[in-house]
Amino acid sequence: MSKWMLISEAWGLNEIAQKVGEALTALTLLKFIKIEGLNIEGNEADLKRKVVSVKPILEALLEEVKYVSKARLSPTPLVEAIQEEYGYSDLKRIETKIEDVLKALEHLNKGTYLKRDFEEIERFLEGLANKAASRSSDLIWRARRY
Amino acid sequence: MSENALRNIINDLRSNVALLYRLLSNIRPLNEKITGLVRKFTHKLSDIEHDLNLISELCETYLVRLKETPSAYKELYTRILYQLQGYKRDTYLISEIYEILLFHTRMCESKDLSDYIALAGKYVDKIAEEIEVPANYLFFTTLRDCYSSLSIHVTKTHITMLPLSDLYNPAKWILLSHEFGHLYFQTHKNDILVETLPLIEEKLRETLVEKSSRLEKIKENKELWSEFWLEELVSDIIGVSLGGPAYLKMLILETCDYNPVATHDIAHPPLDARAFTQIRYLEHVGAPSELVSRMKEEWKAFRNGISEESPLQEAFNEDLLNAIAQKLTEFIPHPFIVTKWNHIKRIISKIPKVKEDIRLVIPAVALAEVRVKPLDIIKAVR
Repeated sequence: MSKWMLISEAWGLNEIAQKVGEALTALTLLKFIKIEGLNIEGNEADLKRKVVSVKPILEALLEEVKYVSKARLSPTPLVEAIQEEYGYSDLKRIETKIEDVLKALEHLNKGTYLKRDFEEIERFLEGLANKAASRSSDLIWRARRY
Repeated sequence: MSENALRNIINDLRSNVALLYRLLSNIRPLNEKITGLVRKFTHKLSDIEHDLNLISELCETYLVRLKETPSAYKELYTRILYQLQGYKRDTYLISEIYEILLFHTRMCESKDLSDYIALAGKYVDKIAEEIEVPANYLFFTTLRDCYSSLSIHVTKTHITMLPLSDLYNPAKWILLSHEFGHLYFQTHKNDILVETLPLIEEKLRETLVEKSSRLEKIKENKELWSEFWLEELVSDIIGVSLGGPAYLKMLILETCDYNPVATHDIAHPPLDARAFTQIRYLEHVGAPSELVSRMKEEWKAFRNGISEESPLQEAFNEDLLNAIAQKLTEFIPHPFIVTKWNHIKRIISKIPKVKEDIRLVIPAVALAEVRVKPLDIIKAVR
């Protein structure tokens, strides 16, 4: 792979890592306020908006899983991240998992705060965020060696 | 527990961002493309600065209040640190863009070089009109050490790179179409993979007959096809769809390959496989026989002189390449070269005494028997 191909992929993954990271920070604050009852104030609507902003990433990931399955491809790094997080190799189960997280996001968006939804979203996003960040860092490290 | 470490990182990032902003803003705005590129990335830097301010507020308003709850404090602290690491990566990526622009503007200080760089840029813009790529992308052409390209989808930017050593040889610029092919592949990747990979797998099953580790080999080859080889062949098809025999002729010049049955790096299929697929694509798409013959002549003139005749490895068997070539006609059914071939032939005989569209001049110059002076090529472009 050329330096520029590495940088191109790193850029795309870093963008995902950042969007997911921002959503995770907002989710954490919302959890502190709504689930753990910590005495901090926060703009609920703004925090919700930041969490729900990952929806397009999850929808794109769902499409990615479908085409990986259709073309019988090896999993892409982000699909692999979810497989590793949950220990599933079956892509159908990954699709279901993404749909579950999308539903949990929908609940949260409607202002229904359930502990299990927070846990569901958090676990999924953490798996995604860690993979996107580590692969992006790795690609940058390789690009720097050119 | 203290937020000072985070504050220090935020301040460090702020100074990185401020410097990059200043450097990018100081890039000489030689033309609209440079201004556009600078605008895109200074805008990105402004966004980062804004985000850093928000994160700073997070530290001051939330973290300090969570000190009584260490587990919550650590959780938020770690989340913030994760975000900051992403901005660190951003600064590296944007500094690469700065280096590209700096080198570009330095090269453009010479009027002579600048004219050729502008012409290459014009050629790439014209290519973009012929290929189904997103219209809202900024296409920027610059000089580097080899033919390559950088797509940054998040900022809708595609940078095509031409080797400095070929700047005065516009005939070879036809190879820029291959670099553009990478953008075509990236933007049509899902459809191409879904349509093509099952075919590749089927052909690999038919060909890889050795029983031991057969499944492993099929899996390994399929991964290489999906990861690298198919993208290169699609990019070649974009090249041949624009330049036909001119593209193949210049590819031969560029690769200078004494062993065309071998792979010389992980990404590129052997030259034999690349040439075969290009010829088959033109046959399948219904190109005039004269055009296909010219392709074959260009290939034979080079290939027949090579002494070793070992076959291509099984992963590149002719059935498989033929199936790919045929499938790709569904994606690029009306290649530019087929519709313009007669026009290009007329130009070949008149070059350099013409005034024509650069998309026709470049392949014509590549195929002309007479050596055309670079300056005459500039004059021949309308």
